[in-house]
Amino acid sequence: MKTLNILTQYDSITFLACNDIIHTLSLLNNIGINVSAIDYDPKFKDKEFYMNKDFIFDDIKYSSELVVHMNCEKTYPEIRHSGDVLLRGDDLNYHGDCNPIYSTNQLIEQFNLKDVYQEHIVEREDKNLYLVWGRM
Amino acid sequence: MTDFFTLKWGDKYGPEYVNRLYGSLKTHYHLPFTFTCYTDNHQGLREEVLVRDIQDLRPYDTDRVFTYEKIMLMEKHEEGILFDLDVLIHKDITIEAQKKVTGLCGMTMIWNYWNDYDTRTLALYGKGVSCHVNSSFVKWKNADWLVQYTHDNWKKIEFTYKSLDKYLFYQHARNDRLSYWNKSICSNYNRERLELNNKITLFNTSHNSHANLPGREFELHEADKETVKLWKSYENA
Repeated sequence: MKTLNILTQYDSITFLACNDIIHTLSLLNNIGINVSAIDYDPKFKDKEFYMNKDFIFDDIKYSSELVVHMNCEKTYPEIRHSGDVLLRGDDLNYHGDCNPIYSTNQLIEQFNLKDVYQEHIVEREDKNLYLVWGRM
Repeated sequence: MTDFFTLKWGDKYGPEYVNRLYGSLKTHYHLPFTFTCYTDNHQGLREEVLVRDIQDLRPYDTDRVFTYEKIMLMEKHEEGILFDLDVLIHKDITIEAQKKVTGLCGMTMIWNYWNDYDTRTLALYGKGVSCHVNSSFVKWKNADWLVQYTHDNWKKIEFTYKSLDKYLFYQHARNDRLSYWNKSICSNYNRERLELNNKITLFNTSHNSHANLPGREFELHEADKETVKLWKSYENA
């Protein structure tokens, strides 16, 4: 799965629970993609592109062609969006993780994907990363 | 009349923890009060302690959101002050207990002044493992908004949080909906050189071990000789 190839197919993208991806956001913005990121960590307060909110609990709206959830293992499995999504989660089982991800199927079922375009697993030394590109 | 509460279930703490907490209030609170213990076992509790069934505070069958019963206590009682069993009240708290509750949640709780906010709490914030608040000593008045929010969002809260304090920290401290006790009221025995500072000292070993802090931690009954002697002196106060 070539993530950048997927991202550049869209005119607007919202990244959820993404931590610090300022370089990616700047890069995508520079090639004309309308990007935004939502992360509750206070270090993103007043940072360009970021909305410093909790997308699960806070009353916020986001709309874009693609929504990318970067850390599904850390949140309740919910995205307020109808359309394309890119889901990413891992099985590290870090003690703050409430939703460790053990398969791409788990992501597909938890987020009720209607279509799956691609699935991919990245094996790393300390964890496996599971990615699904599809439609909600 | 001030209504004090505590919760006791399982066998981690014996009845002496309840009885001595009551005795410490009798010694250090100088206005009329009641003291109620919600518990699954009333054996050994002194007769001044009012007893209620802990199941009355458990509308949800869950092993997550540890001590969520405190929120349900606020639903049952419009106003009150709660102490965890593993705290030691060692100075007069009459004035502090009269403090007006502010904030949308309608509750005042402990801010963990003994932990460095920047290097410890903020550094790990995004990983979901930070917690800079503590519900070992809570005063509430009309916590209706918090109770309703908790019920309305229970499914998400239960899924996301292992403990009540984390839920309160990540959802309500983050949105400035809580108020906190003054810095000079509480201290933490295991985090502050094994000393009894301020007026109320927390022992709180479970929180420390979750945070993987190094070194031995002490429960109240394992504390230094003078502290245990003081604690025991409240048995029949």
